[in-house]
Amino acid sequence: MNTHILPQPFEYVEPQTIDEALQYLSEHKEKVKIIAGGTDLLVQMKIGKVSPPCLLSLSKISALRYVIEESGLRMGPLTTFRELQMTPSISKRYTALFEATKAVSTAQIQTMGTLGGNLCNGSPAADSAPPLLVFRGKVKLMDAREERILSLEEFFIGPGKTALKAGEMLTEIELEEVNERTGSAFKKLGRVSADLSKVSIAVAIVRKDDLCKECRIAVGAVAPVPMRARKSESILIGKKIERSLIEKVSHQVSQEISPIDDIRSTAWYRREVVKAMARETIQLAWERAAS
Amino acid sequence: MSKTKLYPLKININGVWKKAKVAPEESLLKVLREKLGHTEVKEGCGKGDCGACAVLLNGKPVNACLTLALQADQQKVVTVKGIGTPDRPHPLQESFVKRGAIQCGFCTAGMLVSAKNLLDENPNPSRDEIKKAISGNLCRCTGYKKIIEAIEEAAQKIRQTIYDKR
Ligand SMILES: Cc1cc2nc3c(=O)[nH]c(=O)nc-3n(C[C@H](O)[C@H](O)[C@H](O)COP(=O)(O)OP(=O)(O)OC[C@H]3O[C@@H](n4cnc5c(N)ncnc54)[C@H](O)[C@@H]3O)c2cc1C
Ligand code: FES
Ligand code: FES
Repeated sequence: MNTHILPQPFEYVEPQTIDEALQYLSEHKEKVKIIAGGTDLLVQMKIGKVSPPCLLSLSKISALRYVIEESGLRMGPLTTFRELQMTPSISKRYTALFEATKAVSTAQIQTMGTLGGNLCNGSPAADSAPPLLVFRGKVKLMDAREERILSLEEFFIGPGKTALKAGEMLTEIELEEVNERTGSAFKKLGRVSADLSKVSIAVAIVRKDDLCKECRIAVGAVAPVPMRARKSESILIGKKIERSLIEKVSHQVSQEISPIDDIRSTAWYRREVVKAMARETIQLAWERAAS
Repeated sequence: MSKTKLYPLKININGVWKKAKVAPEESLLKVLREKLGHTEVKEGCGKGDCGACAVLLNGKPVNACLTLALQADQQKVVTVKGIGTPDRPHPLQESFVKRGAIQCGFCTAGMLVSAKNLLDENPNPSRDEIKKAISGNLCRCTGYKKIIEAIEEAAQKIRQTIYDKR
């Protein structure tokens, strides 16, 4: 395999505005592929997995690069992992997302990779997915005629598959509001820190005194899509958090997932290790909700 | 197959604006090496894993093998040669030489780019922060120990200079 060249020639367009981009997409549909940071797409093109006749680059559309905090959090898809890390509202309040951006591979990939690209690539191992799921993320998809808003759970369809239709573009990611009683955490297990996850997990807990008022748990790389572990969540909701209960939940998480054997790990190992990861992450989110 | 259309590219490399005609499918790495003479930037894996091709794009480290040349149009690129020169080496370059952090040298250009970015952002990094900063740069020779020591030493030198200037 020659990863030194992009084997197929293609056209390249660089619209300046969202409208121009949507117009071009509506005219060329399947023939054009969006490129953001290129860290997924160019690798796929180099190994010959995809060979689009045309690339539409988002890099000149500054209106897709922002983080705004008002009630919840709204993020432009072109925002890079590095930019997300530098955003105080994320490091202070959306801790699980902050930790996930730090856990993405290397300094170079964090500089290049975008939030939108991470989601639209549709990988079950996308590191931003579990935290966005526990903050009940929604995505705004636009084409030249209309826009629709989906929950992130509806957006992920299968490995490499999302709800995006030809001619559509992701234009915003929205997270719900968190308050000082929310605590969250993210953990990832990879072979080395620069690698994709074997298992990733995010937890968000809303605490009221000694009770767990709300709890959301999401796991990555252990099912065809990044997923919420709802049965596990329900064990904690309304309960007093104790060690034995956390133990029970971590076993439930292991039951709820449907992992496979692949180059990064085995199904058996994923079911085992997710228990320990769930224990630690729930504990950490709970402690953070308290302080 | 039809001949690919070439587009004009204008790019600032190490402070000098340069021009070239490039095809969309040419990576920044390929154009730097083959059209602009910047062979100090190395090519290893070609898919983002090894960091041999790392350059600073607008001050931030990227892998040139996963950047289209056209994505860098009108932007500023710094290669290892822009970090310092043989007459006026950067403290990192001095320490790398002095500490034996270079063996075959293939990883060095990318390694220095990542280290430079780290020290620009954090002149007093911990060992863990250094390891994290160079985790996208593979070295098959040194075992990393001497590289980490060289970065620590350079950081110290830089802090001293800042202190002396006060
Ligand atoms: C060496 C290496 C290590 C990596 N490590 C990790 C890791 O640890 N964790 C991790 O999660 N990922 C990792 N990745 C994968 C990748 O870096 C991330 O998924 C990144 O976020 C992709 O973003 P991008 O902007 O580069 O996407 P691109 O490659 O530009 O695009 C990815 C896909 O999304 C589509 N797309 C992009 N933006 C939009 C939009 N706004 N609307 C519609 N479609 C869009 C593109 O058409 C393409 O299909 C790694 C990649 C490499 C090369
Ligand atoms: S050649 Fe670019 S990362 Fe290996
Ligand atoms: S010195 Fe040879 S690869 Fe690092």
